[in-house]
Amino acid sequence: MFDLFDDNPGRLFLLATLLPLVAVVFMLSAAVVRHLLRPQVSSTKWSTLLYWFLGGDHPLKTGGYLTVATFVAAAAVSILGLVRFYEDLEAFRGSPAPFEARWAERFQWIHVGPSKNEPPATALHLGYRIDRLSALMVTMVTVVSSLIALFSLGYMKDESKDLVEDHAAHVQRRGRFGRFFLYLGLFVFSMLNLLIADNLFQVFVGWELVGVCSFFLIGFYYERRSASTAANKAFIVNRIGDAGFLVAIAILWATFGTLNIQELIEKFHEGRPAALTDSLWLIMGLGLFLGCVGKSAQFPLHTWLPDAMEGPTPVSALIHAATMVAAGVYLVGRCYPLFSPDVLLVIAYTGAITLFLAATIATVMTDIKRVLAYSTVSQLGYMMLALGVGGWTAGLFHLLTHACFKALLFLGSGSVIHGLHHEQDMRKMGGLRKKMPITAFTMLVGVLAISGTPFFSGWYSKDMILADTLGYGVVHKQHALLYLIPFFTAGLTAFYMFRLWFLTFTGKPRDHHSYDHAHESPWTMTVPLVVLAIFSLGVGWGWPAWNVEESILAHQLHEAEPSTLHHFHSEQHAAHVAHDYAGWLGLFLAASGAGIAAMIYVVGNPSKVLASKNGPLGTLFARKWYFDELYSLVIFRPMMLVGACSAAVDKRPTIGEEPVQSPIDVGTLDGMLNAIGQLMSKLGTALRASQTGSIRSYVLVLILTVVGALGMLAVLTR
Amino acid sequence: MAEVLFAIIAASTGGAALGVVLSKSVVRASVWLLFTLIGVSLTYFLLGAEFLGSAQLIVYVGGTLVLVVFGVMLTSPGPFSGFRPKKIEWIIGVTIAVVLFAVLVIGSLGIANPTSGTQELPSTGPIGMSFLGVPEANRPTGAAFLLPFEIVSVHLIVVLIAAAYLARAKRRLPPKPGPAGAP
Amino acid sequence: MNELGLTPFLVLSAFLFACGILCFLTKRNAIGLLMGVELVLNAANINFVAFARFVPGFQLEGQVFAVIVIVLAAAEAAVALAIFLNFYNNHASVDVDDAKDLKG
Repeated sequence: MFDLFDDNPGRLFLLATLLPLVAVVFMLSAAVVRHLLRPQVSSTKWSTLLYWFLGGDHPLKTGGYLTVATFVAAAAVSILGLVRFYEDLEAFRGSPAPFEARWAERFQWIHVGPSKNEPPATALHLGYRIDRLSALMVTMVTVVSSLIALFSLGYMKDESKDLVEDHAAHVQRRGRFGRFFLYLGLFVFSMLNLLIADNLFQVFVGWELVGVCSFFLIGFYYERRSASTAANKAFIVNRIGDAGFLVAIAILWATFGTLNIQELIEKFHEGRPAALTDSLWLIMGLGLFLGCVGKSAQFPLHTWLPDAMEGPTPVSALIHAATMVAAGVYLVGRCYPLFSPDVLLVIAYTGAITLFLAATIATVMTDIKRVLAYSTVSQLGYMMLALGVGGWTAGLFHLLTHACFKALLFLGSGSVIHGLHHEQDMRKMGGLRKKMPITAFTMLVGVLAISGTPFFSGWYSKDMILADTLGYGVVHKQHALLYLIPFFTAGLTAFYMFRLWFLTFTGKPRDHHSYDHAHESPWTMTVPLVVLAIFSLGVGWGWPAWNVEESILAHQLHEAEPSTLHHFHSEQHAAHVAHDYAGWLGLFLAASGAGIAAMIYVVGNPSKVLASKNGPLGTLFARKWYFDELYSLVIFRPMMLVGACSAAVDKRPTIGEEPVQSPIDVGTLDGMLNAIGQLMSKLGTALRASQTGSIRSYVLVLILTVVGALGMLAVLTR
Repeated sequence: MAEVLFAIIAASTGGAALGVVLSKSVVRASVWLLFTLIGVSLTYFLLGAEFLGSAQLIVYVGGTLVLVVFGVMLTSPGPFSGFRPKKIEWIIGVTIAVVLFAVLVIGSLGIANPTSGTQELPSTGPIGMSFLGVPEANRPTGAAFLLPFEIVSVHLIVVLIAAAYLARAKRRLPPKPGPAGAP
Repeated sequence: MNELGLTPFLVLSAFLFACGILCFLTKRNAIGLLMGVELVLNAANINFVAFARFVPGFQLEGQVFAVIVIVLAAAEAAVALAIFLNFYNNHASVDVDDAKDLKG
């Protein structure tokens, strides 16, 4: 059996992708079988046995264990695959074609029409392609998701009871433990499918699937109105982005006849291919980027991510920090040669605006998960900015490190929330360091990583980003904003992250009731924290460790860079020159941010600061720059108005109980259609009069006809 | 000579036909019909179609008319009943009949009027032979009217069976008395 | 026979035809209707035979046609009578106006 993988070791990654699907399918079929067998449990022997084997009345945590097992298996397989990948890289150095054949496969799925190869294409393919980027991403996703699944075993323990009391929705309901892991498995499968896909159609399929799973998981506590609304919002805002994605796919399909990413990249080697006009190239690039804007919650489609915190915390960690939102950045990185320089500038500015916006909002948030959500948006902005200014390696490096420390931070906050019995407001926390030491320490690691403390993984990636933006800004002096904003926001990031940590873990407890009942989380929750903390510390290391550019991971990504980056040669050179300067400046800003946070929240009086009202700037930030209100005004109100008008046209005015037909109705569509019907009816009634049933009238008509015919004959032949 | 004969026969036939139409009792009408059919048969004889005249007498007078009389007998509601149609129906009917007669006569007058001088109509023998498809002097190939003959024969069988089935003995309602006089 | 032409026979036939139609239209008794049909068929037969006599080349066909018409008329009269009898059994009346079951 193992020779399946000898010729095509890429299938190892395919196996890693399919393993979560196995868990999902098994859980679903087990549920169906249980449901079907339940009525006849007491009667036949084998059905009872099967019923109890598949979980019985209380499947409890079996689904969770199964899912965690498959995730761990997938992680192991992908690590194995990664090792083989690097072995093969050595073995096949210099001969790209056989290497490609081992790590990429595809088959034709739908084929329409006679022509096989002329554009537009008439075939859709399914396939995978493993290169450096996808191998690393798959490994990261599988490892992080297995840790998060392990964490969820402890966090979602409440759901395994038969009766769960939902305080926010004031209902009592059945526990949904298994369903959570079902959705989680489906999500991981779709994400991995997206990562290994070799054509944009398959990417789109995975794209949509992760959106759907996100919808399910955000709306997990669907009895709460806020949760279901948030799920809708996430899906709809994502959809807006997907429309752009589809436009891009359509343009590529119509022009080139293929959606295979590698083939498309080859066509774009020398810049714009002749088949594509300038405007179409721009539209295609913008469309593709719009998809990423929706998925990665960039401005202006960022409003869904903070609301998505309605879902359980492991969901926030997995989907909205480490993986799904990373899909947008991943796509930009993968399809990098497809973007025109104008679009890349748009990407850079979008990223810059997003990172600034989100960071300012995060400084005033009081919900621990909201701070982390806005932090995620801000860091994604960093990645997009880096990609836009030509720092391909930096952006994707930050993606990988961010996955580790953001997952860590979210899981840590989940541990806090769990320990405080679902208390999320930081105004009620404080001094938890003594009660939850492991959580506090691991979260400190995460906070240090995200702030860019030297030797933590975040430092390596953030340093590279700052250097790249500075290099770009030096070469293109008109885009100075593109380095001023990230530098300033680096300070802001440190400020709000340390604020989070100080408010939660230091000082005097502000709510003694919660504090007294606080406890450290069980091992299923703390072990992932520790593992992720180790990753957040060490994933960026190289030798020598103090040299950012010597990072091993950065090296690997650097090898995978697309060839169109040679356009950014001068900017990269300037970045290399300005590296030290950027590094020290960034470090200084981060330290000052942390220092200010310490002054306000440790040395000063946090309770007083939290209780004080916000000034005008604070209100702007706290109201999220009024984006929700803006969208409501500009989009929702007009839509609802249009809908109400359309409905009014169709309404029948009622007087008393009966609907009365007004003159408007008669003249409108309703009236016209009714009139046609009535005309037919009247015509029928009129024709009916000729069917008298009396023989003699029939005979009369017969003879009249004969006489008439004879007369005509006589006249015509005269 | 022939014209006189024709005049007598035609007049009687026409008169009898009028009698069929105008008589109120259906029994009387069937007797008038008898005379009409005999008149038609005499017309055939006058024209020289002896076989046809005999066939007419045998089949029509001896068969169909007997059938009609039997029908009258079986369904008669009473000795002197009879239905009078309304005056307006008479007027419409007469108008149509007159128009039809006029059209036909004008048509007939418009065509040529060949007198005799042609040879005699074929007699029974040749007719029979033509039905059987036997070659003759003026029909060397032999094919003539075998197919219609067969069709008509089968048709008769079918009709026999159908009529027998339709008129089989069933439960019978008591007869209604017909309306006396005009409605 | 020398001076007797075709036309008188055609006129006779037309007269019988008209009588038959009139009988058809105005009789309320179903048997009366049948008599009208018989008159019409006979009129057509006279027409056929007259043409057979006076038009060369039509001699055999005319007579054969007339024979066939006689046979078919007899068959039709039989069936019609069967139907009338059935109708009489069901409705206890031979008034044609009572046959209104097919009123639309």
